[in-house]
Amino acid sequence: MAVSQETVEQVASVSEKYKYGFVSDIEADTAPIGLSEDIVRFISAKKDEPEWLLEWRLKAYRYWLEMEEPSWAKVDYPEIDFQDIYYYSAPKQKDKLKSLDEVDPEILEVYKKLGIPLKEQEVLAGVEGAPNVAVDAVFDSVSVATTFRERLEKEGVIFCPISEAVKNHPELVKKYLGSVVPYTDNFYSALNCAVFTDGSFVYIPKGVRCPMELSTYFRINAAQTGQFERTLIIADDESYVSYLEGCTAPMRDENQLHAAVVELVIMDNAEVKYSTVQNWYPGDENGKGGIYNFVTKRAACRGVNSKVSWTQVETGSAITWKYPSCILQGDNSVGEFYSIAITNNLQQADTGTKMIHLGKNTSSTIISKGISAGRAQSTYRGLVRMGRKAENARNHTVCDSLLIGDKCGAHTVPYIENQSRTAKIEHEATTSKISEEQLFYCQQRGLSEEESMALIVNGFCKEVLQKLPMEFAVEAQKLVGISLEGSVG
Amino acid sequence: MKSLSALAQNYIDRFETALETLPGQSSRSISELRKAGLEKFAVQDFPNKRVEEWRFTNLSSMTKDVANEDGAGVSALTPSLFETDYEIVFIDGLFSEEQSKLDGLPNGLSISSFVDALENGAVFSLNSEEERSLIALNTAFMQDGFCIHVGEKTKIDGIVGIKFKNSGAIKNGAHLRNRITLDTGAALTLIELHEGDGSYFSNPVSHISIGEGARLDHYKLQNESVSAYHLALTDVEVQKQGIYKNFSFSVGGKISRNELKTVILGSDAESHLDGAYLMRGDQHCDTTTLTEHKVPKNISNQTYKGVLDDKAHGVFQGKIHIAPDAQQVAGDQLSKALLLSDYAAVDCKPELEIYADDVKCSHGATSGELDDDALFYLQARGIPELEARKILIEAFLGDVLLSIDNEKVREYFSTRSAHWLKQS
Repeated sequence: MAVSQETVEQVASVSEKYKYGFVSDIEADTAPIGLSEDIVRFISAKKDEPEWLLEWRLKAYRYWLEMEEPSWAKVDYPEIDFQDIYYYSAPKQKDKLKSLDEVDPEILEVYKKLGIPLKEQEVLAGVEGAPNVAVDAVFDSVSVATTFRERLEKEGVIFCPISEAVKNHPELVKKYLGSVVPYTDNFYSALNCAVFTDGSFVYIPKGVRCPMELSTYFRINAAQTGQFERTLIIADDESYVSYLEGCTAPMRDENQLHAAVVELVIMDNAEVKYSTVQNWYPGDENGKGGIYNFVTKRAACRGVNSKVSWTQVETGSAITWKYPSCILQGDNSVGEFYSIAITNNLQQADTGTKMIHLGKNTSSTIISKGISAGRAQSTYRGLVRMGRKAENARNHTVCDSLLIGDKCGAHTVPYIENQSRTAKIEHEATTSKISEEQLFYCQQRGLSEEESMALIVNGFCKEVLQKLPMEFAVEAQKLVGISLEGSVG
Repeated sequence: MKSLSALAQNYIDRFETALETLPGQSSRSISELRKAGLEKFAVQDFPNKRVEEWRFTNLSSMTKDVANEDGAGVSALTPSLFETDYEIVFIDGLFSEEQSKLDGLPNGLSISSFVDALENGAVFSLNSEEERSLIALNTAFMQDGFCIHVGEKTKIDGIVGIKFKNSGAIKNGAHLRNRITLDTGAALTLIELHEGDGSYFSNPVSHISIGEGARLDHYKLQNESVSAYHLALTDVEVQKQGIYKNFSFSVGGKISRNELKTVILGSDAESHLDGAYLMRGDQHCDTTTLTEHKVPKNISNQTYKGVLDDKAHGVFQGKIHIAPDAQQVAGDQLSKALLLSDYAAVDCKPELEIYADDVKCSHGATSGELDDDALFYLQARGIPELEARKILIEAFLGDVLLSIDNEKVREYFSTRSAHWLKQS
């Protein structure tokens, strides 16, 4: 029976520890430690950037110096020493790469180990059941490989590292970079603007439905480095793209900083589906090590009937601080946010979304599932704002929290601001624990307590898991089980 | 150092002179307490929008306008029609013995003014961890108030009324300090009526302590003048099996805020905070609640409903906090707001902070206009639109008003809401 096979596999994978925690010995080009205007210039020079971009970075850096680190989130961590981080680390390359075959085999090995084959022939031959997905692989500070570029170019789709887009499509980058998340937005986005090193750039031209899923895989490898990537996706009129993002990092005792910025621009009748499976190293059971994941993600639905859908599965990171947002500017635009945040041991997550309704008949849906186990703290923080001109705007929010064990916490902090008479806002939230009856029922049927727990939690998350692209959904489902390991008994 | 608001500076400047006239000047401990309050306030100033708990309520008009202006004379207020059995009256923030009705109090019930209580050695304090600047300000300038005590197992039959009649004479602020104590097994029904005329600032702070198995039904009518500022703070402690029920009905004030903090310290205790607010013009009404469950096995709930017309602005911020190990707690929260005009607005922040796993908590918040279908249904049956809207608004408020246990109060608040609707 297919179901039982799946259960067996799932149970097998539940007993795995964080399996992406290995370190690879790859020679790297690193900038001197610390942050200064010189480092910003160094990064810009490394990337061979035009003058306007360097100016922008410096403006951001100077602005950042004036800013204070935010403290409003319900997360607790020792002060970050921004001078004790390497802001640039790239695997050494000899010459310019002509094809994927020339990528350092060590790096290819890393991605293979992570289950992301970068060789197109492998992908095409269906080796290891690899999905039909174009991948941009970002390793520490730089993008090392992007697959399926020719195939995509035929359709007019641009999918490349952002550093390359700066060179090849400066008009697009100049027009849209920072137009959704300006450098003045917040502390970490300002820092990102100053020192971002790479990331993905996507442009879907008018009327094109992107023929395959696009994906970026982020890997932090080097010690003591911060990863600051920047993703920019532009969906022109009547286009569609589904974009996936995955991330992992080695197990280390130190905390590493990841401060990314993602900007989406969506024009008339276009749609972007953005899925994330975030599995940065969460630290050990005593809270030692782990990634600080401070991310700014925002989508601007500029056109009429535009649509954006954020789906996220957050299982990793010592601290997550992330609020993928939608600015619903175009009339009839739609914003969706589906989220699962799982925290175990000493992890802390403060995550949610912002739905800013400006246009008429805009609608948004928020479904957030938070699960806390061990001594973890999980917070949903969300904003729904109906502007005065958002006639007939709609929002529906459901946020449910599940508590496993009596040492963890689950918090809900919604902000609901309505200035539009004709807008309708509904918000509901519940907090509960797994009932004894449910556990007993599963155990009676021969599942162990831990397996039962994984099954019930998967059921709790189902609404969100269903929104993920298929390949990701299976992966995410397993992840739910692994993340909760050790949370019972 | 950052500069203080004009009103805050005004307070600091006149503190020394005020000390000589404020009650308790002969007691060193009271003077020390006032100084501690002023020091705390001087650091914090009036709350501004950068303070998280005040992000939706902006006091800048008050801190600019009110300062340094002398108030106009005594109000020409027509007194409230609500009849109570025992009554304590404050005119412009000061206890009025003539107008109060305190004869023949039943055994076990004692009512005194703050000034009398001080003379009898009552102790007032300011928690060193207190972060609310309005409480610090109140501590520095507390001028009068009431103390109510209900003795063990005493159940008071009638209603105790506290009437506040305010006018421009308290433009710079009336700081009342009130205390209600219910001993084990006591029961009391109480109504506060805040009314006024002109522009003024009222800042009442109340401390309520509910003993084991005691019950307090606490009602409040906030019908201040539409150019007044009413910023009230009430702290409640509930012991084992105690019940606290609060209903606030708000129609007045230019900017009003009702801040309720309930701490549940015993099992099988209950806290019910409900209310309705009806606002129009450019009125602003803020309801902020914090319910802390410190021990297992108790319940709390909150239901607030608001009707907002013209440019009125409603705010609801509610927080349920469940301490670690406070298992088997049920906490519910509901906020509903009706927007009648294109320029009305509502901000809502229903918050849960939970550190125990065996709990059942939920919150809900909705806002929007009247249901078109319901309106059509009534009109199809020959009811004119205006009338139909009134019926629907009354129905919207109806179920929260039904939670009022005291029939007399329920009728009074229902009449007041009908009266409000008639004016629109």
